[in-house]
Amino acid sequence: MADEELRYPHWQGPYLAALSESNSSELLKKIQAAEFAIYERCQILAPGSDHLAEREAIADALAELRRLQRDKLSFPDFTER
Amino acid sequence: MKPRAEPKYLILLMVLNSPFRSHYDWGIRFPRAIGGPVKRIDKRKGGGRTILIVDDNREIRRAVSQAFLSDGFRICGEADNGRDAIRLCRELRPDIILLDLSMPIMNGLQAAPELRQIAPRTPIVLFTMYANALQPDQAAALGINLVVSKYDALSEVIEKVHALLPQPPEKAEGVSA
Repeated sequence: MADEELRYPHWQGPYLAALSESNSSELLKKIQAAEFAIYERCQILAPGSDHLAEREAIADALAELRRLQRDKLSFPDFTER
Repeated sequence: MKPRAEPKYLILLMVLNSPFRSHYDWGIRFPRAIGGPVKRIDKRKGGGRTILIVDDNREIRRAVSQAFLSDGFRICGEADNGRDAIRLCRELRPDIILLDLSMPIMNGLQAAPELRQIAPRTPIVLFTMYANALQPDQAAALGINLVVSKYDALSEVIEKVHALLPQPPEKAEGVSA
């Protein structure tokens, strides 16, 4: 999907790149790039309570990245304690 | 024709290059000229206190480090997983630990109880995108003093860290001769 078609291109570009990566070592890099792009965006969104749709999209993306880390990169699952 | 320097600039240059230039150094070094040790107060709030930053994302570590450095903290170590954080905590005895939640090998929740044992009085701050995944009482039971979200502005995170540290924050450092 081209950047201009993305609603939140700053972080959705790196996020989609991570989702489509099949090589494990590349996957780690791409997940980290996506996380950092989301982090940067969160820093911009931080002061206000608006952008609710984007915040929800970010929450969904983070859940998916977490699933990839757990299932494909063997990160310990922090929801199981 | 060769341009000539204005006399006032020549005087300024002489002053700046003179051995007495410290007199003009906004008073920081001036007292040394009249004897006695000088204490320089670090007015940034971190006051040289040490922080161990634990996050598997190098770019996030870099951004967070810069913010804490700007506030006068010293970055004593960085780790990208909980196991390395435990080792560094033993070696470096940081004043505060900033701990990510989701990491490879050992995550923040697995590392926190061990860090708490090694450093019983060191504040541990869980710094995460998944702040809602943990209730405050669960965090406290693991030895975590505070959970802050990566959604928060870094300036707010730093303020919250200050609130955990013993006061007064100013720490004087001697200026060597």
